[in-house]
Amino acid sequence: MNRKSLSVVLSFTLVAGPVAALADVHVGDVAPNFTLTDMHGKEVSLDRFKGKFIVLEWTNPECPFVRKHYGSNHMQGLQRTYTKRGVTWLSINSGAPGREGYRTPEAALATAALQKAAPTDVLLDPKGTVGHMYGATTTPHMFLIGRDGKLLYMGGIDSIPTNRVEDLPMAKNYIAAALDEALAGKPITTKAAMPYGCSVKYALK
Amino acid sequence: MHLPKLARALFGLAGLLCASLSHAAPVRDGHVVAELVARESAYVPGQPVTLGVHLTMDPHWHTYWRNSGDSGLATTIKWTLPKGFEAGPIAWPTPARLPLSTIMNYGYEGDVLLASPIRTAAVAGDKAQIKARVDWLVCSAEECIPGGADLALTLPVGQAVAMDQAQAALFAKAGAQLPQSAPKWQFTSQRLGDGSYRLSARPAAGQALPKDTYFFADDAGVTQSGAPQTATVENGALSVTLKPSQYAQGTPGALNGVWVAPGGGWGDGLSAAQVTTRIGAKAAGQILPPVASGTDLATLGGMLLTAFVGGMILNLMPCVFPVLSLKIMGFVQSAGDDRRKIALHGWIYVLGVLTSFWVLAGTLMGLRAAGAQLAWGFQLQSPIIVVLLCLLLLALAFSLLGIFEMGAGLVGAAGRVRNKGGVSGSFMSGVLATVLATPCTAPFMGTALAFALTQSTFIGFVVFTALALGMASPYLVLSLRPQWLAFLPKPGAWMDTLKQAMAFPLLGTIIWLLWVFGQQTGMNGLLQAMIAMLLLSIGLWTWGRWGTMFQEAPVRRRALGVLLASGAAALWFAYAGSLLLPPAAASDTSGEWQAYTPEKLAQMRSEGKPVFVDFSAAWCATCIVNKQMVLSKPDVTRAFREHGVVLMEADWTRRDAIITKILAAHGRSGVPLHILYAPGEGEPLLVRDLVSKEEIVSALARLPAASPKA
Repeated sequence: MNRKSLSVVLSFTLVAGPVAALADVHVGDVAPNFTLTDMHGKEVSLDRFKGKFIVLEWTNPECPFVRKHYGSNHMQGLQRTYTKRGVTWLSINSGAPGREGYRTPEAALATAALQKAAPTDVLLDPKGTVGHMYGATTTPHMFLIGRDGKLLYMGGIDSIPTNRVEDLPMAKNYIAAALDEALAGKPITTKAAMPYGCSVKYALK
Repeated sequence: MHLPKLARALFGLAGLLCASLSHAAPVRDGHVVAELVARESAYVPGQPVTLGVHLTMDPHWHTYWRNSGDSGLATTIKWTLPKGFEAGPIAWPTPARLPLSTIMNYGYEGDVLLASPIRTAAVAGDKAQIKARVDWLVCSAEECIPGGADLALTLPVGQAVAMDQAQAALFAKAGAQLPQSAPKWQFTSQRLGDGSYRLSARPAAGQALPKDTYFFADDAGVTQSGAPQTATVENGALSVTLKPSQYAQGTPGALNGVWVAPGGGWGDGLSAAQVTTRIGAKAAGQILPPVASGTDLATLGGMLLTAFVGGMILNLMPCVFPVLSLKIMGFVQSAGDDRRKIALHGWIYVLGVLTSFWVLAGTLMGLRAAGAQLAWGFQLQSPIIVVLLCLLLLALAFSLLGIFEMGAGLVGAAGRVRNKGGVSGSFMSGVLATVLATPCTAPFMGTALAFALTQSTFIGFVVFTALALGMASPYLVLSLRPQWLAFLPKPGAWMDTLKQAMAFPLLGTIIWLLWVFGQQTGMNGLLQAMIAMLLLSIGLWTWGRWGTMFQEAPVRRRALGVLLASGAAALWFAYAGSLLLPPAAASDTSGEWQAYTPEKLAQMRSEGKPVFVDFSAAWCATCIVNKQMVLSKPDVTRAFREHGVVLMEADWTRRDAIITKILAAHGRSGVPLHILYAPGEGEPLLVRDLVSKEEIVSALARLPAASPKA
């Protein structure tokens, strides 16, 4: 079974299952492939970036925890630094229509421009399929995928789970640390940390 | 009647003033009203008081418990207290479950009192000025708003502790919501084979088991908040199975939290029990030696013997055989030498084996400490190591065939394998023998290694030492009793023939390694590896042809240049090839065998099907032999079919964290491992590394009610 059909089966199970439980991806697993519409209205598949380090950043522009990192220009800084070093950075919005932070492609493009965000792309997951596939629970929620397609890091963006901008300088940024180590060819010291933030605004049943 | 009216007004005012002493005005921020309250109207120096932050949320808004669940944030209180005062931890009332879509949060709707015990100064002071900074995250289904308040309160000094009547009801209500210890129950927790946790409650005699329980774990980093909790009753104890968190740091040692049994389910009106447990290891099938508790000497002795015998058996493994034959050749060559010198070489060889086992043990222990889920054989799970071994063996084989003469120092370790004279040669061949032995987890090895990994570092090293001594013992015996060498043929012209013939086992090993590499990296990776080998061949041939001492210096230099350039190109191809992945992410399992996942296993078992799982890896020769000699025999496949057994293969060719965990749960750190699961929940019927036809057939006969083929 190739990866594409695997992901189709996965998403089918998630839609069809009576209880769409959160998926069980772990560090070391092959990151499941997916295809989503991006802010330009184009279809983007994860496997297009195969062979590169890939950051998945779950985001919701209206969540105060996300605003902590964007309002301080901190997230944009990370996006610029690492995309310049060849890292693919995908911001994913799993907000469902009608819920806080939901964005159509056009609105997502405008939001990214307002934020002066600099990811490789912003992907929209209004059905929550990919969010559930990766078990994304919070915004922000970070994942780092290695060149071999396996998960190197998953969890919170840093070590101080608050929404206060003042805490940023004291916090150890886990995704930056993981990226630095990965780019230097070193093993990742912190491979997982509790994610923190607002709940991902998945569709309500 | 003016006077009484005035008096009443004055009293009222006094009362108001009094009240304002023990609790300051509430503060609203966003959707929360916060108020600092005291249970006592005054404090007696040296006697504790209880203060609380009372949060009242707007309808449909909630704040969070100490473990907020999948998202959210626990409320925090920072106290500023007079000198000599000290605040204790928050006594968190039992939270409510706040599920939203697939996300589970733990928190409070309506209102909550977060009370803390406060120790007061023993020396009588003045009124106590108490400040509290409260920070919370308040969320509705739709949005989250961080909030906070600076609260203050003045507590006067009193002669005796007196309850503040206005607050008594509030504190009483919060007190009733606090979890309590349940002395009539014994709580235990275990880690199961699939990584999940089983929390059990065993009652004192006569106590009924509660129903519809829910466990709120203290630490979201141990168990998943959103996962359903399945309850089972077994031998008079209630158990819930909890899914492990993907965010666990290291191996959690404790499972603590609040276990809620609605309607006073724990007896004596108790609904919320405070649970603290140490997580015990769960032995399934074979006995996993107890971790941490003192290892008894009999077990250790048995393990050391097992390790020693296992080490000896390693010499007979196909992956050690080439090196062993090289060493036997060395024996033959040095048989005429000084016997003491031979004995010295024997001891040095032992030292070489020992050192590499110690290095390996040190690395394993270090990695274990670092929390990495690595295990025996991991060298060959790394494609780059596999391809480098191919290149090394190719060079060795070429050297044996006489295509080139290995200069001392050029290929270092490998070159000295044949170098009978050098003491360092004996040492290095001990090292090489060990490196080559790792893929062959002989039957005894699995248990000994897993045992070593579960033990203290010291015992781990002792076990590894026994393993090393076992492996080196045949060589040592021969070097100490050289008269037994008389059984070996005399040196002669046949030796050169033998030397060349020895190249073929090495070339055979390369085939096996290439096949492993192909499994890991696919057809394109295999192509790159073979290009690397071709380039290295050209380099070695050039060096052998024009790099010898008989050639002019410039010619030799050019030959060396070709060797270095082709070697570098070979390494580049090897490296590039090792980064590739096979086209299909999942191992292709043909026919009746399907790829193993814990979910599929659980699903099949819950559907009432027995499941047989074969844990193997492409690089594991023992696994492949076992598969051909046992698992694919007609009588075995027929037996599987007759019992409706679902066959699964867990492929460990590349490192896989889940499979590593399951191997560890069964006391193994390597493959092969075969497990036969009965339908339902119970323990596996069969857990074996090497399995025979008879064992499988008799285990199948023990299946509850053999489900005939549908």
